[in-house]
Amino acid sequence: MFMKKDRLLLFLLFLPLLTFAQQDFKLVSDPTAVSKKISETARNIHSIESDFVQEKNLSVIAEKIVSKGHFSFKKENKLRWEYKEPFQYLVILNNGKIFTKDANKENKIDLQSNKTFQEINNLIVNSVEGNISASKRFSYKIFENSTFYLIKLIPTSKDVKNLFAEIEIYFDKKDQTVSKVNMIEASGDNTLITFLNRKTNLEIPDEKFSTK
Amino acid sequence: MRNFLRNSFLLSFSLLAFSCSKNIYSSGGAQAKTITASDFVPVFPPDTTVIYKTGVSAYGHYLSGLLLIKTGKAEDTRLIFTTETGIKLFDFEFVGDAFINHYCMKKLNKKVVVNLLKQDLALMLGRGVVGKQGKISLNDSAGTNSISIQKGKEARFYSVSKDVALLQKVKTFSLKGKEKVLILFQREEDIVPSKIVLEHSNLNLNMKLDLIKR
Repeated sequence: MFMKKDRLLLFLLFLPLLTFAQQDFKLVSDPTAVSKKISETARNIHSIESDFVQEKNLSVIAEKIVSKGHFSFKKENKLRWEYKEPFQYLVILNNGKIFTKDANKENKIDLQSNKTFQEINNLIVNSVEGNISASKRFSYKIFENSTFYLIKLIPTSKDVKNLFAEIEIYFDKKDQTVSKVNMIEASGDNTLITFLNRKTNLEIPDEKFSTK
Repeated sequence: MRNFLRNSFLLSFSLLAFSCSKNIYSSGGAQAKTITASDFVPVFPPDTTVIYKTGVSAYGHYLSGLLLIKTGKAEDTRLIFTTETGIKLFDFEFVGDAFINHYCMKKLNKKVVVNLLKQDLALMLGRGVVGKQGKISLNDSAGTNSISIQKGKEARFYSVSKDVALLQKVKTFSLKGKEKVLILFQREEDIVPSKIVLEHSNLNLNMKLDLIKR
């Protein structure tokens, strides 16, 4: 068991490394060119199939809350998140409608009636479709390191500000597809979603996105 | 489930056999005493962290997510409710007699909603039982002890197992005998409940919690 003093010492020892990790990303010199590159690549992507790992970090507990599942995207505007572990939960977003299903109930929500959900939906779809400058409700900056383009979105609208202080989207430089999304709350708690085994342009039947 | 709850309620109600015309709390025969930790074991032991897949139905709307419950050394308890996708809905804490609203999503952050959540969560955690004056009566047929406490204009009945005093059921009534809330606890091997169901009789509101094994 560490004493408080030991922990502080360890923190101070590792601080330069943490700072270095942050500094690893630098602002890109030509954000318009990067944004264009991502949008062009995304224009040729009609579908994505991917596994995902979601990690929720809450400052009150040391342990992360980890959930895993499968993600599907199909143009236009169709998303499917299927949580498989450690609980079953399905959420489908399809052209302004949300369908959710858990062990107890199926639920339908009209996005038009819920501004917050609508904004989150727009954010996800715009990210996947590469329209990073599409929303007027965020300001953004683009950073890069050897592996990723990192787009930091700062909410400018009140609705989204209530939920998140900042959203980070990591695009893999190899194929310009979304690799990670990190949603950071004002409290410092965050939700990191990492996409694994990404496959693009596979045929996905429309039924997979049915909200009926 | 609804039938099960209704039947459980009817059975328990007939066993209690309280008169509706009198103060439901004062009609019991047992002598009041101070409830101790050996009469009533906390629902969640100190220094415990658990997560429940939780569904809340209210007036035709359904909201689901993950409820994190973290207890401290004393009875202090933090409760954080997020959607499955990670969006935080509320972050509340009970510290001693105080209630702290660390965060509540704007749409839910209304006095009446927060107060209702506070009351339901406190009841579900079994707060405010140990150290209070209450009456204990034995229900031999069910193998339980019934602890009754009057809190303001409400009578609360806690059914605890006779052997280890684990909470199995909570029912609250108005003093005239009108049922308000019923909470049922189910356990498997652990003392932490694997399932909790909370139903309001006078409001169209219920919660179902299923323990996530990690």
